[in-house]
Amino acid sequence: MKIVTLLNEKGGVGKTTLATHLAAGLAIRGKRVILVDADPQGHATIAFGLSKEPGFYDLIVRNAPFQKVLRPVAPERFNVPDEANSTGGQLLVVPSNIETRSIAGNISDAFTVLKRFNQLRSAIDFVFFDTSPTPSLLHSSIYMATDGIIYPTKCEAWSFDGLRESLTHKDQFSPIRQQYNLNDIKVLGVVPTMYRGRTLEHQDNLRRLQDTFGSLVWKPLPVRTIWTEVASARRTVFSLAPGSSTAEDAWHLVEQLEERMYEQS
Amino acid sequence: MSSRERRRKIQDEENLLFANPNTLDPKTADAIGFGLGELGLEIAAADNEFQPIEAVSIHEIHPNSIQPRYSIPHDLADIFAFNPKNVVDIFERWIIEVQLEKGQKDYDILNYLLGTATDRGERAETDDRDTAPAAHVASSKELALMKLIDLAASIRRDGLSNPISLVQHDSHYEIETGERRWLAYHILYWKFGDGDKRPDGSVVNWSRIPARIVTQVDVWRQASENNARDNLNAISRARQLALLLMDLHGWHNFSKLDRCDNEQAFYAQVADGSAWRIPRGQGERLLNAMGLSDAGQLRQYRALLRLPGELWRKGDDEDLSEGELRKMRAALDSVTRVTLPKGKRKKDTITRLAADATQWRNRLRKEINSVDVNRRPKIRKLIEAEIRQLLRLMADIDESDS
Repeated sequence: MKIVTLLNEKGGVGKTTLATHLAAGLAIRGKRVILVDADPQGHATIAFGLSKEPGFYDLIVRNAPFQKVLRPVAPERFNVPDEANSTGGQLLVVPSNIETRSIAGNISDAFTVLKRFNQLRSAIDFVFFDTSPTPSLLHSSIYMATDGIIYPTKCEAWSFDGLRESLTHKDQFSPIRQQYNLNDIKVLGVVPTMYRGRTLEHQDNLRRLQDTFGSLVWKPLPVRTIWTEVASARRTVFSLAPGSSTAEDAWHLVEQLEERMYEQS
Repeated sequence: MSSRERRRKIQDEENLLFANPNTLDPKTADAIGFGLGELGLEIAAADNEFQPIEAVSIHEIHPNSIQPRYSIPHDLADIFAFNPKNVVDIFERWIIEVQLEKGQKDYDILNYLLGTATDRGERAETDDRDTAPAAHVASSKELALMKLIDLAASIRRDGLSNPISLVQHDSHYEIETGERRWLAYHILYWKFGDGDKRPDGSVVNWSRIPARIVTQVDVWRQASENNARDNLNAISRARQLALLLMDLHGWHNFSKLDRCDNEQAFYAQVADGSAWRIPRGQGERLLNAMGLSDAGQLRQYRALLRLPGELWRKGDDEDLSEGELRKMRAALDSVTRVTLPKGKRKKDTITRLAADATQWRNRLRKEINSVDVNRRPKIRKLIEAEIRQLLRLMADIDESDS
């Protein structure tokens, strides 16, 4: 089981959209995937038309069994309409609601999240954490659990600030993880989102990103209306517009992740 | 999919300005079910293995009557029924008895719990042997109390790292593992109450103890926990072995504790090794559970189940080792053996030897009864001398027989 976290301490950069599509893409490709909505807004939950309760808080604080918390996503919501392309993976969501923000105050053990998900180590291939932009003690617990992080960012100044803050906090956990014989967290990629290639501002900022992070910077995702449409339809782009160039972009993301994870192992 | 088709799918969804995705009605939840096939079964299995930790009131917890270790000295356990209502009474009585032994009226456990200055600490701080105050030799009762107080102090200072395990009954919980930790929480609640501010600044309610709830008392899990902590004395280990043997042979074969004359009689039901052999294929499991390396040690612990009652209680209260108990028992047995009539022998010799043996036995019993910790080495030497003497007496008998 690999645990991947989507992080940027700036809101509205595309963490949830990336999390839902990476999770869905791997599930379409035959993996057993859990998407944990760790943002009190619960948008990764409603992205698939699911109820926000019971949620992540119930799992971590009330010790609810996974069976009560995990919500399977109906294949028509995330999978391509032509079922021949599906290889039988499964996508499950741990929903989130306003209670998620209270998790941090109710756990004393930084390994709580890791311990809970380790229970499913043999049953699940990937766990994705979609996080909130505001750092909290819950983030600490996720830092202790995660194998790799993907940083979505707009090519804009405030998103860069959020990115820098996130990277600083990740580095602060390295010695703690070492102390417990955990591998260092792998930066799987920095993903420029909502990219407007015709503007000089975005061009310059993309160059800055590439200068700083080199090959860690993935192919930019252009800004497109279809991303908001998939949110309205509570589906993925694979399901709603399978033949579109946006779906191609999304598949490219999935391939990038598989490649980086392969490099990692 | 055309743009128009996409718009239709979007129109089919609820408008989030009005819909409330926060709640899921039970019917829908049931309808969703968990139709995940094999994955569903794997997740269910993972759930079954998970034992959540809960905070349980210490007043709703009762000790397990067949727990191998006696945390409370036998005489106090005899006076007080051991249940959550009178734990504080037991501690008060226990402390009074220790005060009487020490001749120290102001013996206050609060200093120990707070980690502030104590006579014990002062002695540790004195390096110079000449000026150091004479070392106080603690009785077994004081040592047992101090172990619990030290445990309580460490829990207050560092927190409880390992939750206890409980079985839930209709009106109460029963301890599977963690009786001493539960008693330590009682001490802390008695002295600090709820809302206590610990040295690190955190606030704790000592009336509630973190616990895992298990479905039933598992003597193998108990053994594993006790073995990992390496804190059972020889008598407790003998009890532990008896429980495991009873579990292997089936509990229905044995009388319950309340049907036995005393607690030792309950465990002694499996004392006969020929009647209650270790089932085939279970030897290794038993050795692992007991933390022992060979079958000889199992036999030695089983033999303790047949100790005379007074030696059993003394061994338990004073944490005597299996070797010490074996020697004491051997001495008593030898004395008893030579005093038994051995058929027609030379009357005068036998009478003389029997009288000698009775004298030795009475003396030995008296010494054993009066044994205290600081006299243990002396008693050991005495017993060894007794054994040598008894061997000589037995040799005399053999000689007179021939």
